[in-house]
Amino acid sequence: MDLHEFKIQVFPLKNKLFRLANRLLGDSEEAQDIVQETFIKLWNRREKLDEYRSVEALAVVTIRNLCLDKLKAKKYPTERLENLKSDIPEPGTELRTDLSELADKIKEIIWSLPEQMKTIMQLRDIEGYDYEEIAGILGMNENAIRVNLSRARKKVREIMINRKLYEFQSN
Amino acid sequence: MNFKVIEELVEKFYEGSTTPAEERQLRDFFSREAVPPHLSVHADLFRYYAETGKEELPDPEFESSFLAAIDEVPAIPMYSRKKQFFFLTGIAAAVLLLAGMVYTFRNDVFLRSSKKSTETEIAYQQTKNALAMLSANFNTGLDQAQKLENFQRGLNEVQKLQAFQKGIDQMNKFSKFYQYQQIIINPGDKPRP
Repeated sequence: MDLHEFKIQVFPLKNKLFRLANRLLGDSEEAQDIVQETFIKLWNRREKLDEYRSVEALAVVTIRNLCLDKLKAKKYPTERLENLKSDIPEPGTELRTDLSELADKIKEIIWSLPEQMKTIMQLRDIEGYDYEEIAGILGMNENAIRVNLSRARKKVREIMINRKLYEFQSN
Repeated sequence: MNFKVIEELVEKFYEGSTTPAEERQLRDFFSREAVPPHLSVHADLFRYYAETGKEELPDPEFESSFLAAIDEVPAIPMYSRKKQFFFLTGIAAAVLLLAGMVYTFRNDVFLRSSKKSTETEIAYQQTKNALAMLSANFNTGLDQAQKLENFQRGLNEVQKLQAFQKGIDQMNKFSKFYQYQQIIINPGDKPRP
């Protein structure tokens, strides 16, 4: 793959890759560096890129692995669900939130999910990949992907409803 | 749109059984402003999805800085990097081996020249004496060997004598023949002793 083809096939992936990295690392500057690193890794393998069925899938696998390495090396303090539940605000403190505030809250809830759920949710619900593609990227079977995704969605809904209840009460 | 249909799709969504097309349908529906309260939780989630999906990598210079980065990194294909790695590893191993040998050798010489110097001296003297003795004895040995050579020569002479002896035996046979001839010619005569 030459530079011209690389620009056509790999450059447009930058935002998708950035979103995944940002979701996994929770730091947009680091996410950006990781996208750069991913691009360079792919560029160094440019001779073999044509052998892959999907350069995009390879790019996602690459950036996920880089993110996991980074997380392992840094031992990021990822909040667990238990911590988050106790973080539910006191009744009456929350009024109707605007969209960006709400987005931050949901982002926080998703951040508390285990990495695999986060990745699956990101790839499916944000990027619109089908189960087959996600199964290929994560090296799992499609049913396991579906089960994990269902759990992730339900978990997010559960936490959201818990918070919403207080809002309804305050109204 | 019929809320019943949406409610069913939402249920399917949480079970993970909606298709991407159905999920797009839900997203479109919830992106509209008016959503009944019992669906607002799902509306929030889908709005979050829609918003997050628009998130972009912030650095506008990203592509050019990548291009600069790959210009800095020389375009070495992976396989030749591997080769380079093995080559360097080989050199490193050779250097280590050499260093190890030099270290061991130096250690040996050091020990000889300091601790064991007197022992070495004695050993040297003893060896020298032994060699001198050997050489002296060797000379006498040589004389003996020369004598042996003479003996050998003598032996050769003796062997010649043996040949002579054979000749004598032949002659003796002749003399016996002569005796018997005499007996035949003169039967009365006693054979000579």
